[in-house]
Amino acid sequence: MNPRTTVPSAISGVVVRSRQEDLAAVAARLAHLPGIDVHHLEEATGRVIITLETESSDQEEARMESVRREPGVLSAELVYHYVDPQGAA
Amino acid sequence: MDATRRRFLKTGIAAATGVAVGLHLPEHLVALGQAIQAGWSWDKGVCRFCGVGCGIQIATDKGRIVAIKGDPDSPVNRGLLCVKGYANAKILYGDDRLTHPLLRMKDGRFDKAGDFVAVSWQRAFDEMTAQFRRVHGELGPTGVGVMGSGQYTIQEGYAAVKLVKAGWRSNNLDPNARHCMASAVTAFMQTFGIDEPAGNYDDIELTDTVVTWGANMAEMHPMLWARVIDRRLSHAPMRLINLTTFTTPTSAMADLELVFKPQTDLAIWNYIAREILARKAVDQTFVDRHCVFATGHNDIGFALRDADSREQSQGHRKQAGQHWLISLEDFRQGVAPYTLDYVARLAKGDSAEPLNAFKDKLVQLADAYADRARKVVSFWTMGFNQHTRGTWVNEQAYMAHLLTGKFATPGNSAFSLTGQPSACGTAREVGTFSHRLPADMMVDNPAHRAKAEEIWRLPAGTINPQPGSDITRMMRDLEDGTLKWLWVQVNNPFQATANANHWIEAARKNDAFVVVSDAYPGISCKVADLILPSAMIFEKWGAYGNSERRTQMWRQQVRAPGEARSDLWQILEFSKRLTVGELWGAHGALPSVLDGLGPFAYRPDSTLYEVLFATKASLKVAWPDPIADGHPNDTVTHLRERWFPEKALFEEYAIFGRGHAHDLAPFDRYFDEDVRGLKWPVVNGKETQWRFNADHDPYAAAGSGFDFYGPAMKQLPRGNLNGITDTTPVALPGKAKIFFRPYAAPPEVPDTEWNLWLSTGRVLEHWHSGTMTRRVPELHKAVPSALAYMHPDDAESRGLARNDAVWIESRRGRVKTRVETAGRYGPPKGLVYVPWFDETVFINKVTLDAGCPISRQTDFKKCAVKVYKAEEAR
Repeated sequence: MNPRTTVPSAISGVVVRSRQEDLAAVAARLAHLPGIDVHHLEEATGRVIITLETESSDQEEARMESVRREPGVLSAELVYHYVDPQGAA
Repeated sequence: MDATRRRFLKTGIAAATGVAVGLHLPEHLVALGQAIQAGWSWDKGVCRFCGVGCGIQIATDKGRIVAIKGDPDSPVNRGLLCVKGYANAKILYGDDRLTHPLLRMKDGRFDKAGDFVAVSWQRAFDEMTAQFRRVHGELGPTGVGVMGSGQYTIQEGYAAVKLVKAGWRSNNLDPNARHCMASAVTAFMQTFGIDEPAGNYDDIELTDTVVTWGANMAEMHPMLWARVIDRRLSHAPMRLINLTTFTTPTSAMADLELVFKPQTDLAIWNYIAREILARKAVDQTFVDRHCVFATGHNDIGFALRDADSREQSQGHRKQAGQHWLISLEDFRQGVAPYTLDYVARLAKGDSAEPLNAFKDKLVQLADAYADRARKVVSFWTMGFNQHTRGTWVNEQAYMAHLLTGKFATPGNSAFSLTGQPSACGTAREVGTFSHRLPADMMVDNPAHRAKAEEIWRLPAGTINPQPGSDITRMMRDLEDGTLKWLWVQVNNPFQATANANHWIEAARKNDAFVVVSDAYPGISCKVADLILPSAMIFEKWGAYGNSERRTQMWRQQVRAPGEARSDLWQILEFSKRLTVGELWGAHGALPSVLDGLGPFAYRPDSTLYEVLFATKASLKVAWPDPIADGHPNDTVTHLRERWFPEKALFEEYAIFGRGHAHDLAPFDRYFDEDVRGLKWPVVNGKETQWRFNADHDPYAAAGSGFDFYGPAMKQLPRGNLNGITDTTPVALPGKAKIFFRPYAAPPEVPDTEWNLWLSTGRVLEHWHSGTMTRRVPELHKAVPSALAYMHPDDAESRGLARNDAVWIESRRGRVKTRVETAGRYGPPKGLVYVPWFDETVFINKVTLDAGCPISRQTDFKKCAVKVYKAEEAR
């Protein structure tokens, strides 16, 4: 049985962690990934806040996976997930 | 969405994310983060997926869930969520949600061979009741049954226990949690005399070592794993050791990975014990004051059918749980054969690894447990629990921790991680097992039955003293025609039970009637005769209990679609249709209790609803209730009543545990702003961090240091490794048992024809049988269908290339899938791993329904298969 879900477009807030010394380089690489914006860096704790935006909803996990695969990324965890109630963008 | 709004939203969401994880942001950004949420209504809840119990905040706007965030105030996940966190909102909105009862019909009448037709609830309950009466009339209370779940809310599970055990006088209620952590339960009961862990998640931040055994924690419990990684990065002595039968993402972060041959974990523990003794690393004071040594029979079988030839040599399969006291010298003698050399040869799981390298790893593993200065947390999941010696291997973990005194203190813990959100809170604590009553009580104990009959206001002798069938046995009963009416709630057992071909055929037998309550159509719905559409998590009120004894509650947030109704409503409505007069008469050995109705003012025509649920005490718990704070309760709406079932049932259930080391807080307390769940026992308003430890647990006798006060199985005969020598029972108040358990080979091992081990399990993105997560497109796309993960050499020697279509075949059945030789799992030569979430790769047609004979939990981790090329068209 195939899923037949229509899910509206979504924006997620994600916290990415790296070692302190890698932080700037990691943030710069993440900024180049499609659908991803880098917003805040906190060097003391090695954390970057990014948003992950999806034009069509099925890109979401693929984009999380692309973040996780970036060299220097220790973890990428979802914090905030917004679903646009107006429907697909 | 236009570009300006999109930018505004992104900036706001980034700010809200930063605030949630404690970043210091400028005021204007904090304000922007708040602005995007204007008009939304936020409330706290708990994630509906695994057993970790992450706290979430849910935002609703105009009757829909619009946002989910990790709850920054949750001590479990501290504001973070894994990818399954997304799904909490989206699972509600799949296009194929079941929204009407569906009955198999032909020419306007129920027909087993008919097609599903949408019917009213009235019609659905009419058929369900008529079929119940037919089967109950023919077979009595053992002919009917309910397969429940570790995803039941506490209130649903409690209502199911009461309906089946008190109302029907049957004990045929068993949860899918039987497949998930029954072995953890039996080991707790045998070792400590009481269920559920001593420690808690906070041990992660207090320890020096995490050892994972048969637990791919990085994928299955990601938020706890995030805490483990934090500790690894911030505490220099911290070491991670991963024991597994194949390389997983958990191995990637581990300092030490041991790939062992399936089932040999039993031998590895005994090597560790031998080393602890040899190095004089025993905490002698702790052991002398708080522990005894014990063992049991070796030949206890494999929980297969009695007629199975593999059971024939197993002389003590009817006394599987029996055990007795032995001496430390007996214990020493028991572990003596498990030398480094013997265990390394037996257990090394990767043929490419040099023996000396594996030996070196075993020594390092023993070092971690034996080093007095090092704190250790052992975590395990299905690799232990789904094991033909699952109870034993759980007990061995306690054995090593108890010997070294590394138990029930901050940073020292032996901890079974559960897989379902309320496997602990509902299946175990409420007692939705076929042998259980609430708060660790047993149906075969007369005092326990009397206690339950008193609280439930039942005539003496109402509860059936015979334990019912566990979930696998219920499937076999269905096949044998000794059970013909089955209600499946909040789970998908026809996909989840091993050796599945048999059970699907059994469900379709002419005189069987199968009801499945579900939110989405899975395999179990396909074999059903009647499908009932269920409300999901935030469409109802509920409570879950996580792995660390934390009870968490939520309010209804949104309305269920169509005619979907809460499982609790379904239980309550069905209970209106049956009377005590038709159920409480004599059945076989079970005497009538209809003479005992008088004192309770029950009449033969009193319905189960009146007697069990809408009791005088419950009717006083009124709806509406200020605790709702504007939230609806559709269980009440559709019941057309003025009482509050979720609160009344919780408070009634709590009577069982209060004063018995299972104390829950009052219902309303869980909704207070400062509460993110509470770890029971909650005594004088205070939760309990470390059970059995007198510094932390109000139930441990003051001044005892430690007090293993659990009352079950605390009268033991004496004996030695060969058996019982003195049947005089010895009382063991306050003691924990250190078990010697030998290595025992599994019932099916690879041979020349069936030449590979098959192991099954989950993947990160999908949860259980995938009925929910496969509806969330991004989860589905990430892992579109279950693959067969193989070693490249095993593929090559079978003429297979990556992505080839293959058959995986056992003596029981075969499924088609594709080969993966790279990917995220790295099996050693000789083992193939297939996830079980995908109903199109129905791997349980292949698995063996053998299990632990003490816990009756199936071993899904090992059977013998062959893999060969399939034709391409699929």
